[in-house]
Amino acid sequence: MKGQLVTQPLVEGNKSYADVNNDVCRPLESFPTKLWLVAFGASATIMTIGFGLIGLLIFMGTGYSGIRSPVGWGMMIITFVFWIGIGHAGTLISAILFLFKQKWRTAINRSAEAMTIFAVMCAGIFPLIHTGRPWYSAYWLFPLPNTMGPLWVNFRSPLLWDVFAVSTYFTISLFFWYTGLVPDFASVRDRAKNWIRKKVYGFLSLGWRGSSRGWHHYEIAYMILAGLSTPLVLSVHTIVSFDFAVSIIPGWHTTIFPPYFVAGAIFSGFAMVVTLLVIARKVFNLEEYITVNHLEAMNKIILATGMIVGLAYATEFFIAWYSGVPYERYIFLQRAMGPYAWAYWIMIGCNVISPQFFWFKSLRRNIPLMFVLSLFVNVGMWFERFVIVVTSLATDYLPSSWNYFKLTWWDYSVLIGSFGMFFTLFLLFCRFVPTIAMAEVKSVMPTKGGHHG
Amino acid sequence: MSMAKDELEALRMKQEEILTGTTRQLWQSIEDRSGDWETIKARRGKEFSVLPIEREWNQSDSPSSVVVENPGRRKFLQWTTAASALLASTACTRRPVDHLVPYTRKPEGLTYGVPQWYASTSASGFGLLIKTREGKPIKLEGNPDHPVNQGGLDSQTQASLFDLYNPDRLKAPLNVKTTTAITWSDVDSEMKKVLADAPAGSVRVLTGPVVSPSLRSSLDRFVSKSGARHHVTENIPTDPIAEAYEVLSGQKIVPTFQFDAADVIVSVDADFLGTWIRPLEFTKSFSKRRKIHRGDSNVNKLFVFESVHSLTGVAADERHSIRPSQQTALLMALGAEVSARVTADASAKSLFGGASASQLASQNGLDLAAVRAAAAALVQARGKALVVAGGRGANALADQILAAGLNSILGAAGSTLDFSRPMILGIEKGASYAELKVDIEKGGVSALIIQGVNPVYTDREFAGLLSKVKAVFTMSPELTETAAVSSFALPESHYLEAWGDTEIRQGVYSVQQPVIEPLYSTRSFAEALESWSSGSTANYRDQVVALWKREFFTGGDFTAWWNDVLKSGAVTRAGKGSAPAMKWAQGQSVVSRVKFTKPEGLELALIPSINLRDGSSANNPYIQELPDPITKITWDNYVGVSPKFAAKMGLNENLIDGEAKTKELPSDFRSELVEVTVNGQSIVLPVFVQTGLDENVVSIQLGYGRTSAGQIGSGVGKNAFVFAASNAGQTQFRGMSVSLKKVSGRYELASTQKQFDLQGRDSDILQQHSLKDFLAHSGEHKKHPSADLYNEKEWVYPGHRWGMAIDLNSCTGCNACVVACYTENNVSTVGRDEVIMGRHQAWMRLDLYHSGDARNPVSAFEPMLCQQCANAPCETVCPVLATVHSSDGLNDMSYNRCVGTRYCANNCPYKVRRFNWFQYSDKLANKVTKVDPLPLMINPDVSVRTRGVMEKCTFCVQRIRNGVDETVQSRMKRVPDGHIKTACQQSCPADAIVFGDLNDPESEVSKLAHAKGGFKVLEILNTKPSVTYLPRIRNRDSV
Repeated sequence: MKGQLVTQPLVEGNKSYADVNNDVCRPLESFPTKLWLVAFGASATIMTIGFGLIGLLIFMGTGYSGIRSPVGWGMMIITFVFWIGIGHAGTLISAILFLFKQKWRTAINRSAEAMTIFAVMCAGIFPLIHTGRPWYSAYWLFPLPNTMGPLWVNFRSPLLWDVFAVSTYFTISLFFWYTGLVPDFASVRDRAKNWIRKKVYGFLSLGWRGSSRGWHHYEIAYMILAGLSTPLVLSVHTIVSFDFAVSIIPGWHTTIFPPYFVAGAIFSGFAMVVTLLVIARKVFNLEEYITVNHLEAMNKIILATGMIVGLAYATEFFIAWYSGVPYERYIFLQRAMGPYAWAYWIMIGCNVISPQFFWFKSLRRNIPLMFVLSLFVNVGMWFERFVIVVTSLATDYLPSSWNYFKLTWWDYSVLIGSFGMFFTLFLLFCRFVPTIAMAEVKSVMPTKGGHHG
Repeated sequence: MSMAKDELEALRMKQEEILTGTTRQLWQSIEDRSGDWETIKARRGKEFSVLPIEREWNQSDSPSSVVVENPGRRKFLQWTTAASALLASTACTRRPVDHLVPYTRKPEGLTYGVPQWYASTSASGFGLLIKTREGKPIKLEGNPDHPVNQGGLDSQTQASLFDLYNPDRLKAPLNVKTTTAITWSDVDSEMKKVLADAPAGSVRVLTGPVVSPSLRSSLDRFVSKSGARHHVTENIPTDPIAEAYEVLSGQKIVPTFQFDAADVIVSVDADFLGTWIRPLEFTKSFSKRRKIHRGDSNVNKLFVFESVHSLTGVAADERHSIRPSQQTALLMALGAEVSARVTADASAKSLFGGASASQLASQNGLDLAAVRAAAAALVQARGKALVVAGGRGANALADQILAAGLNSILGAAGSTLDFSRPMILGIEKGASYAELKVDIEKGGVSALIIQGVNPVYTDREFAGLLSKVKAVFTMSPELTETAAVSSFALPESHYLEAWGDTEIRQGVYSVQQPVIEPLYSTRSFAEALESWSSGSTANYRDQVVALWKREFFTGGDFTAWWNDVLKSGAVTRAGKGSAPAMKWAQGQSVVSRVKFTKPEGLELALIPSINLRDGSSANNPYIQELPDPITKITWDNYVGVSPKFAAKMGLNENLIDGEAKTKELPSDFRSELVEVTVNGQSIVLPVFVQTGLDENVVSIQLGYGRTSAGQIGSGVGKNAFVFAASNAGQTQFRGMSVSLKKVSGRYELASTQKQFDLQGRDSDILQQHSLKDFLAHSGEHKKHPSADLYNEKEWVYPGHRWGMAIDLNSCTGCNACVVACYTENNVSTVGRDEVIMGRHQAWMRLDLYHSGDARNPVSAFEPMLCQQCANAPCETVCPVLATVHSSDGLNDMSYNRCVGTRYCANNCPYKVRRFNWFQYSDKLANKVTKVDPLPLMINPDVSVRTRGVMEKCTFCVQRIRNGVDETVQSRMKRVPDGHIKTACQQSCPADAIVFGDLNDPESEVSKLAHAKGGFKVLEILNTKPSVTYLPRIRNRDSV
């Protein structure tokens, strides 16, 4: 295992290939546990309430949200950026780590990719419902041929780039995930004891037979998709950051945004992966596959990206001062000391200070602590977007228009509703899809014969 | 059909199937094709297999009845006939009659889609041009030919268009006791009975100001026929100027204030640009002397001593906060200083005989240096100086006498005071209100006709008195507080529905012509009086014409002359007045009664709301939603306190930063509540910490707290008229001793501007210079170096390029432009809660910034509207191209295409874009659904915006396109300068807004765009706005 990030065995507990299939497929083949039912019931309820409230917004008006002049974007854009950021870890783990041949990724890539897809689905709702007329924006933002004369979309608008970036990202991620799932669906199909399972998983596995020809094509396809996804890890959040960086609003109009946003996205994405896996490995008895080593590796990335983010915060301040632009300076002073200082310091506390615990190996491997810290990071990253979106708009150029932004009950409910949707999808995923890439894990298992993949 | 035949058929099909291997080629139904024999058999010979109606019948009513599964043709026809008969019977009700007259027979001179304009006069006497479309008045504009308002119009009159369409208008006479609608003939017979039964001298008429010659003659006729007595009053009484001149000369006269003739003006609590007498008229004349940017460097200098920050205070070159109790001492000290400096003999000096300015100053805590500076300036400008006093303090009459004395010493008569053409306030004739009250108290009034005033609202004692009057007829547009406790509430016609005339300056006669049939069963007051005195219900036009022929016609062809009058709206005849001889000794006797005592304790200043004035238009959402120019608060009144006092009382800790308002934005805008007590009367109001107040003064606005105004106006704010005191026969509004007590709870006031501090951004946003600096500098405007990174070729506008110049030195912040914009562009009102959310829809707003000391701030207004940037940040970010640049320099907004991402609003550094968070256009104030006739008020040339789209100022693109079309039609190459006026520009009484073609080097706007000192707001951003601002110049040595 020379040159590997993790020198410990990637799968513990002396597993055989059959054990892998048995362990991973158990949640799919047994009756749902009480815990799962309760969790699913709660998540689905929250999701349904969230969608109900979105319906209210669409039928009655955008005014239910707390957005107001001059803060034209609020919870919905904040949460959009938040979920898009969460999505990044999945692609990073599956694509970039794959290309770098980081084999430890095999245990976690499936759930990380699933998380990506669900996060992008959650994210995708917000830009649509935040528009005043979603029934038009649902298709007017696409360059569709139409009968309205030479009416076209505005290719100069970052929002349009967003549409392309996010939809491309979602499509590629979905295909990538699904491609990886094909051999595992076939395993589930082969184990199936009743004909419905056989039919459904048989359909999903696209007739996979495990022939070497099949594997050959599969691996090439997987490699190509990994190659396609890799630039997307960088491009999606870069383009999302353009929504802000291309504007002329102080605190938005900065060149640091693309790298800063990408680092933040990976940071929050890994934190979310840690949050989910700490629970999933416990609940589905997968501790031997998703080992502490895996979690530690992710914590290292959280530490590294957290410091990049911290550096970006400091750089923003320095540049604001160094630029000599009074508007820029004012915004940053306002962030740290103004009416939104509470949000700013939540952000600093969660994103800059809390990852510092991961300097210590014992803390990196401490599961309760990493769980708490990963939650902190997620809270902090939501507030980072809050600080960026709200403070700059609330106190921009003309003091006469300044206003203080507050979230309304609607905002809080729909924000929580989006988590409901995310967890509903994730719980369904845990029930119906192998949560660990069995085929890939088998390739990195220490085998009885002593050779390893 | 026999069974055999069926079976034969089935057999044949089977055989066919076997032979061909397929089902039948020719088939009549799906079942037929598939060979579903059972179904085919069941259907055979049954044309109508089931009648649905029979099923229903069977299921609901009689379960035992047999289902007619196979009704047959006869049965089917029976049912069809019955159903048709039933359907026809529902059509027997008569359809409501609509009075939609198609334009197949076009009225003469009317083209569908082309507006018609009529000259008329507003209720307050200002000249109007009324824009009507297809017979509906949709916009009011100032009549440029009217000698008083000269084209400008105030926010109240602009908004009064709504009062015509107000859904809460009284629609027919009402018998209040029985709450039944009655007819006018019922009213007439009732009135006849009442007049016949009333003992002599017991019939009274109480009116508001009567400025109409025709109404005056109708009133006189009624009074003489019925033996009634006419009393006159005002909801908010004017300062006793006429009374002062009556004391001094025996003549009840108010000279016309010629602010345009004054080099130096001193105002002591007279907010002549905001609420004092006729602000529209004064704004027009005052601003004529503020045109330094149009090459007239002979600017005036305004000293303001005031107890509450006002529009006049913002316009001031030197402003000082005083306490109301210092008014008289201040005038006295000013008089003493002026007398000492004026060498010429002036008899009025006797008024200030024994006074010593320094003694008065030390005794009353006056700023002696400020008084001396004002006095010196006045004396230097002698003959072109003017002193105005107001505010109704404790010595209102003495104040006016002193002001008259000062003006006399300064030689104002004939220059800044025009006695030849005095103002007509409409209160000169008629017995007083106080007398009426005494007579009612004594039981000497049996019938009372009230019109034009709302005494139950303004006078807390009056409702009790009314119970002593047998019959009370109140005429008002809506069921006011007074009308609601009268015997009969009589609906009054809007001035757009009735004939009339006005004379608000002696010799200036203005005609009021209706532009629409009365919408309801209403009468004008004059029509009602005519019918009561002569039984005539003839068109009142005849009366007006007869009067004008008799009184104002000077000979020639009357019809031609009258048509000219209708076209121009007003005629002017020679003034008849002259400066009266003054007996200063009589003034002296009034003044000597004033006791100068050291001011102590907290004093209250009641001020008319700049928007609501006396509250009579409280049901007008345009007025309610109009931000108070000084505090920017809408939909409420409040207790204004100084930061120092607030700190002392521990109020609103997060709004105060020692002296001024906070440097940063507070996060909690909720105000604390205080109980205000004056003379045993208390009300609870929220506190607002404001600048420009002495720490011992608190202010409350009048006009709020109507309880019976309508769905919109009732219950907005609190009625502060309860605090008005009476002092020496004069209503006192300022200087009452007041106590404040903090009570629990907080209340959020709906304000449209929360930060009044420029944060040191003056040079980018609002430039102000002292006159000295401005004149000293060469005028080389420091341009920012071009910040373009790439040398993009500048777009050359091929034809016109529309632009605007806003003269900050002329703007007084009167709000007229804001309301003009609302009515022209169908801008929605959103109501209090939405204003709190920062969602008011104003396309044009007046930003106000203060600097310096919170007690005596230096303040300036900045009208802010879409800057129509050549390099517009909003255009590039819209993903659907809903906002694009036009070839003539406009930033177009296409509502149909907008999906509402709000990116444009975020990226607009001027924050002028407004989003429709809800379906605002369907409602008034997001509360009252717009019902007929409100939709008639909509300007059909401007799209009504739907929920979810962005809107903003368009430079009145509908007017531009119309103007260009007219030019093309008249075969001119270019639009002549001044041909197109935006709504805000048209309405501006200060002529602060100039619009035109920047590509035309000769146009006024393009000259102003390059004028000395002209700047663009946030030029640093390189947005290249089309609006040039001309700096505020203060006539003093330093800003």
